[in-house]
Amino acid sequence: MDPFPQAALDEIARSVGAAAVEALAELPSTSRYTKERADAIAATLPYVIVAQRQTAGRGRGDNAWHATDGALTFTAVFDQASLLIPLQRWPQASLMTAVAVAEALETLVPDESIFVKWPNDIYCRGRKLCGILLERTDSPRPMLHLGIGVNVNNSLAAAPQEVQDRAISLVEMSHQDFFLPDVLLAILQRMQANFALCERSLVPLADAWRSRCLLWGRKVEIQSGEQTIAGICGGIDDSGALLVDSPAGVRRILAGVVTRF
Amino acid sequence: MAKSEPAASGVFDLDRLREIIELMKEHELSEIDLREGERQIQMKRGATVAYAPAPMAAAPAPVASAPAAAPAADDSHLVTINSPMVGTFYSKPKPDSENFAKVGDHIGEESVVCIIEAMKVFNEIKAELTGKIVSVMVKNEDPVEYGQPLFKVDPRG
Repeated sequence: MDPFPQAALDEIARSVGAAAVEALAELPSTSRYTKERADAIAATLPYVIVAQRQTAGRGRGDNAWHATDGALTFTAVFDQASLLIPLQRWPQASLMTAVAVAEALETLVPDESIFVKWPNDIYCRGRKLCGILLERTDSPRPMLHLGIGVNVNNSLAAAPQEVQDRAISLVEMSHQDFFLPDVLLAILQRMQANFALCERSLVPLADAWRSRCLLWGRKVEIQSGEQTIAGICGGIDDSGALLVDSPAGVRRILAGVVTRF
Repeated sequence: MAKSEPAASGVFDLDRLREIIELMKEHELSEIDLREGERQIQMKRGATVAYAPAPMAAAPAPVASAPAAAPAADDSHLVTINSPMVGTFYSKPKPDSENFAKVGDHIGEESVVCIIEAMKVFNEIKAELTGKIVSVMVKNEDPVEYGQPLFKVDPRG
């Protein structure tokens, strides 16, 4: 059976107001696809492309995204007109998207607690459930490419032990398969809702991320360039910065990698 | 810098020079070229005053052929590409890739010169000017502030 029937994709497009939702059997990376076709896609925004199989999924830097059949991998592309958020606040879309994915997945596995690891990784049972990568391109005009990979029906039982220890999929929690277009629709709807909610500021989403902050109260280490910042995480402030109570005082982190938690 | 005797009067009078400098500031001129008789003065704001005799030829020399006035240390015409946001500077798309821009590269307005990452959003930064990269002022993965100069560019390069 076609995992992404066109009728279901058209229905998603209508439901979330996307100009086009398309699926391809295989792509190296959905975000690479949209970035390479930015000129063509610019005429049909918001645009969503789904890959049934992603052969070269990327994370930050060189981190490979271990995706097999049954994972939901897609990239949603917005411009300023369709995102509603001013350009200088686009980095905050990281948190809005992460909270949206967490909220959407909670409806699918209601007995589970789902957490956001600042700024936009999704964790459940201490393992990674979803990765998000945001990229901005500026030609022919500024566009935000939100690449999202969720472990859905891809059981990781056959994956290397180190992947099993660090990753988890929905099917392992619910013991039932999901119809991938339903998962896609749930995520896109929450994304649209959060973007609208945060048109003026991140504050309306504060409670939603505070209650899901994976790092709150934990001892964390952040690598920012050659600088390592260690301390106790005090959550996320209203601008979306991670707060770290370090010996040198409370630091606001806007860029960098959480290397230990 | 003086290549002929400083004049005590006329356009080269010290007070007159001060006036000219003020006028340049007021009108944000970066360079002027004046001549009177056999004497010529070229002024560039922000760095040096070059003071040279006009070419000996009787015919007025076109401005373009005036003696090159920029000594090696004169970098007043250089401009910088500044960071549009707080974030982490990435000089290359992937750890094993070539840098987007290195010293000596000619760049156009659309050239991507680096990536600035903030909250895991990777922003490709365009030069938005034309010229030659003279220096890279930050290192790969350095944290950068809003408005911090990242590259020095020679727009004439």
